[in-house]
Amino acid sequence: MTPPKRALLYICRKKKFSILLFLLLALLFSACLMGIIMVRGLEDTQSTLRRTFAGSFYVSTNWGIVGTQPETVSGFEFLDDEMAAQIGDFEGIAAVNATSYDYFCSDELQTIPNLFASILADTNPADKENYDKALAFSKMSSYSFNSYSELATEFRTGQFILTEGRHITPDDVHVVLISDEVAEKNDLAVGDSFYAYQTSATSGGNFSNYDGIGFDLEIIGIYHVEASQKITKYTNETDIAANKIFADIRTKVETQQLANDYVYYPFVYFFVDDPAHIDEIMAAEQERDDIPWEYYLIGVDESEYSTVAEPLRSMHTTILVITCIVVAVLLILLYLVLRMSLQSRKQETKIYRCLGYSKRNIWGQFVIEGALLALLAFIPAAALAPPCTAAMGEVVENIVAAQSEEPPEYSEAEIAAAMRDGSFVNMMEDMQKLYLDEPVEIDMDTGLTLPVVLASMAAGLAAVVLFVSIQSRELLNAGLR
Amino acid sequence: MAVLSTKALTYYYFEDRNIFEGLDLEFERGKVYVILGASGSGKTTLLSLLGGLDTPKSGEILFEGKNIAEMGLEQYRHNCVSFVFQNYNLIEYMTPKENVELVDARATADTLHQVGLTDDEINRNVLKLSGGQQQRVAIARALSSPAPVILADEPTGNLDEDTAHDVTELLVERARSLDKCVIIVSHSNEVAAAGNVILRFSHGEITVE
Repeated sequence: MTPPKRALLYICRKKKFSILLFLLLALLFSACLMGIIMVRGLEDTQSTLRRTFAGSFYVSTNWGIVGTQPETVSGFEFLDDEMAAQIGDFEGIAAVNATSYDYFCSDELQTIPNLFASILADTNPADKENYDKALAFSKMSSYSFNSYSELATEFRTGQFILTEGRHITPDDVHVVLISDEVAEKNDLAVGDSFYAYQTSATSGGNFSNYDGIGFDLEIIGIYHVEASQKITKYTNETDIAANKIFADIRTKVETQQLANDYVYYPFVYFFVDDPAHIDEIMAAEQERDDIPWEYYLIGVDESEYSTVAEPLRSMHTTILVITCIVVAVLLILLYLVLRMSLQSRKQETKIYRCLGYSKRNIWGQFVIEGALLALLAFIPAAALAPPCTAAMGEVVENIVAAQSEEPPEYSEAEIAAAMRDGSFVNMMEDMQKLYLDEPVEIDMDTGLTLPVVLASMAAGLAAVVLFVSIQSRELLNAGLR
Repeated sequence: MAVLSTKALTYYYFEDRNIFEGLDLEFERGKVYVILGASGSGKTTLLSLLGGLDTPKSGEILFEGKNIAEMGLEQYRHNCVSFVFQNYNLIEYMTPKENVELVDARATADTLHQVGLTDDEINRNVLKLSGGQQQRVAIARALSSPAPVILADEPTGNLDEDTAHDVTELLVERARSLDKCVIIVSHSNEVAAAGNVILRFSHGEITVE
């Protein structure tokens, strides 16, 4: 009688053992497949996030080396339009966004009031110096200058979404994007303008060369703040997300020129085609002789990516560890069950050998039994793994969301202590940072491809064959008397 | 010509104590040989050696003139000998017919009818048969094998007197009709009476009657 026929007879007649082994194998395959799907889903999500958050490197001036009189530094070139274009003219770089920042005041644009407004309300108009200062602060907005506002971090990460009009491009001059809240507060729309100016009243009299520089700024776009932000009574108006104004980089250059100041960009961001190769591209850039890299800093700003991806990384590790543990436990159980089964077949093995069956023939029967059950168990496992993982995926998403984003809250006593010990600024940065309420979507459909299925099945079969071979060796070599 | 023979066959468990030494025996087709002796005298040991279940310390076992060790013991057990054991040694998850098919793929229900089993019993799991019925299946399996030699170790040891008588008669008569050589180890005088040749073990010596 052939090994396959004997194997089938055994599986059909020894139902209890067959069902036990079948269930164990189905569990094993399910655990493997679900683990693979979740791990790959998390990896794919991290890759997508990396493309969004860490697909660029920045270049900035190393003022520590350049010093306060850059015009005297031999070989130094300002990080301006020309230098940005030169660095950006390199294989693998898809876009360049020159950025800067500043503060402008406006008598025609009311911001969402908070700390500065309350200070102004508490300042005696008779105290002209402080009142003027408080007034200036209450009219101040934070400006983010960009070649492409679309490439600003807030828009790339989905924290801000453009709802009307268009984004800023390099050819724009004297244009801005404002939030829908500010637009509504001031009854402004796309196409309207307001006048903004600089004053040294907010810098304690420093930068007086900027005094009075101002522009009529046209609103070309309106954005909505998607992210959430915790606003406390200590939050100043320039830190409130909806008060932020995006302006074209030309306006900043013009400001510097009118102030007879150095014309340069504090940060220029270079976006690469493939984030996976960003390190190679940066390394290749730094080998260029035509760029005075000794005066620049270069790096990948992964702070946004790290913040968002850390819970995913943590979950990835957790799931990987849990899957390995569960699979290891199930493999041990499988080994023990197979051992128990084969040990109970000593007599059967001796009978076959007495009848003249070769060791290989007997081993073949045992292997076919295990392999048949493994193949049968794989079918329901492969069918059930995707929907089960999808259900678990929602749980994973909620756990990730719970671990991420929301900034800490501090008591009044903690805030007071921070003011005393000088850590107040850092505390406020922590509290006021933007966070997205929506959980990160983890796509669990990408993990179960045909190669993964075949590889899992092959691995399971290999484990069964290995365990059966190890266990049956003792049986087949035992004496026959 | 003897179908099975031994030459200077020696076996021991401890070097200073031989079970038997320098044994020369011959077994012919169509005859029934009964090995008698006290417990521990070496009867089952001899049968195990003849069946290729163990290897002698010295000497040879020849099947139709060829040394069975050179033939390969698996091959020898497959083609040259078949067994009937005291505790039947059937595959418990198979039916009687399937147990016989282990040695003869072309076995039919008639094979088992000839040993006295009914159609219902043939398709029943062997564990649901009586001891006597199970031994009949074991005998059918041995008879169905193409091997010319049947080795039976206490085939009636677990059976009652009447059943033992029937089983012995079945084994001996069927084997003779098929011109097989049957070698039986037994304590039973009735089995001894059914044999053509008695081999009596005593204190390491064997006498042929």
